Amino acid sequence: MARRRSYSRSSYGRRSYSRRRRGGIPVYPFVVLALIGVGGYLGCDPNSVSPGSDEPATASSSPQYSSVIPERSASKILVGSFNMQRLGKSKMKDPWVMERLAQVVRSFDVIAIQEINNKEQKAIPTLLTYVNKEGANYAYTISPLLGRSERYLEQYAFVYDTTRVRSGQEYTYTVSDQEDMMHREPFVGRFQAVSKSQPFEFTLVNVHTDPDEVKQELDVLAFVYQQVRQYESPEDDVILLGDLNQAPGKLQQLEQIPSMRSLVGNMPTMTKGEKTNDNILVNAQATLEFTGRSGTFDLEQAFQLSEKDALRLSDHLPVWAEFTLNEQAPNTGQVATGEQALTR
Amino acid sequence: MLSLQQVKTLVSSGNVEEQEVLALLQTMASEDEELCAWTDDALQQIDSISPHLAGEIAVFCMDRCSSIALWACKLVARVKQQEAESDLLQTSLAIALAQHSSVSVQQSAAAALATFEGLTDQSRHALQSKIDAPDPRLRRLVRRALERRAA
Repeated sequence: MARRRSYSRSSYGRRSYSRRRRGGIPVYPFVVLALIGVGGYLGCDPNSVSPGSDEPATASSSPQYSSVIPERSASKILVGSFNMQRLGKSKMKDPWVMERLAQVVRSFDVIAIQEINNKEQKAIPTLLTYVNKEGANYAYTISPLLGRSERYLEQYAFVYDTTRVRSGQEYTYTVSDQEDMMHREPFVGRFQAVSKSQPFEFTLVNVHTDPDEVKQELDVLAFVYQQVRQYESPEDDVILLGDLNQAPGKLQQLEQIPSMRSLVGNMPTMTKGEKTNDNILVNAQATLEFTGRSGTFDLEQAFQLSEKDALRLSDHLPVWAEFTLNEQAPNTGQVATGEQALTR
Repeated sequence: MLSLQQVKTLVSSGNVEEQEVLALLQTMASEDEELCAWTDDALQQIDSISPHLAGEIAVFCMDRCSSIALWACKLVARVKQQEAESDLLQTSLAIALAQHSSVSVQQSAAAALATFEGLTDQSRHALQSKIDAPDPRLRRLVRRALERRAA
């Protein structure tokens, strides 16, 4: 979509974008957005990316749900979300589990992870050693420890294939919640597909609601989503994904947002197949890059597991959606290329 | 206190029996973050508590361990036929709200009081004493409990 940004060399020699609206962030009495990281936008060096396909988008008005994830393709970006159910010491010590979690991660170009429970913060680095063992080049960004419990806290992470997607810790932030409206504040990350021309740029909002307060939190999330979209403007590909603890039809104000669409529908997202808790939500009018293919990742089927063994991985299934590698612009929006100065 | 494996088995079974509730509550005293997280998940699966267990659980609302007290308050809100034990349960919650040193426990007590059909004077007084609490979530939960009663 339309890009009006500028970027320049910083004093550290790293390329960074300037943000004119720094300090001009919309403030809401209950929830405000604050940058934890440096913020700014991703620089795109046209000389360092591998060619992408110009295959046209097949943006569909009705997703074709599937419980089988497609093969990764050079012209598509596969985005996933997975509640890894208490990813901590026990799982880290179990190679059988870690190998399969790593296989799940390697099925995606970028995956949002929820329920990381390790105050020593070794869980994701350990997962990455499994993911990259055979030469893959995945990296991660991670949220602060979040939650209200005095006994344990959780973290969110994004894990992404650096040969396919650009991001970094400096392109993430946690939604600041001064009024303590949410148990775990959403974690936001900016991404850019690796492509020579008009790479798909998108923002992921990683969430895990509290099942005890899901009714209140879903309405707060609707507000947060709109605030993030406003803050990220002109970026309009803002994708909310994670464990919502609620199914479409009961997403309250999230479903009242014009053009908001669930990409998982009512497919069961729990390993036992009983509920739809996880989802990927997009603004269908803005995110024309969605190819129409989305669904769940059936762990039993993919790894030929019994339900009992699948539950060793997680009580949730990963959910996924496919997007085009390149921006699909329905209007005459400018798109950033190379050193072209684009103001925001 | 239950082991991690015992708690995981309970979570996977999706069926936490009432006789395990007290053991689960006590497990929340563990310093092991993973055990506490899984125990939290097990307790979350309990939809309702029989009135005969209510008194035993209510005692934990003032437990020194805030994680135990927090969960005890939550579970009191899930007691079936609260009216049968209303005064006893509300007394425990009102004391937790007014006196527990942990704001998280106070929040949990206020949220639990909002589930009762009628408030005792002690509960109302405890809620009103926190109506201007510095913690925004506690303030919100207290006001919600009082507004529900006024409606």
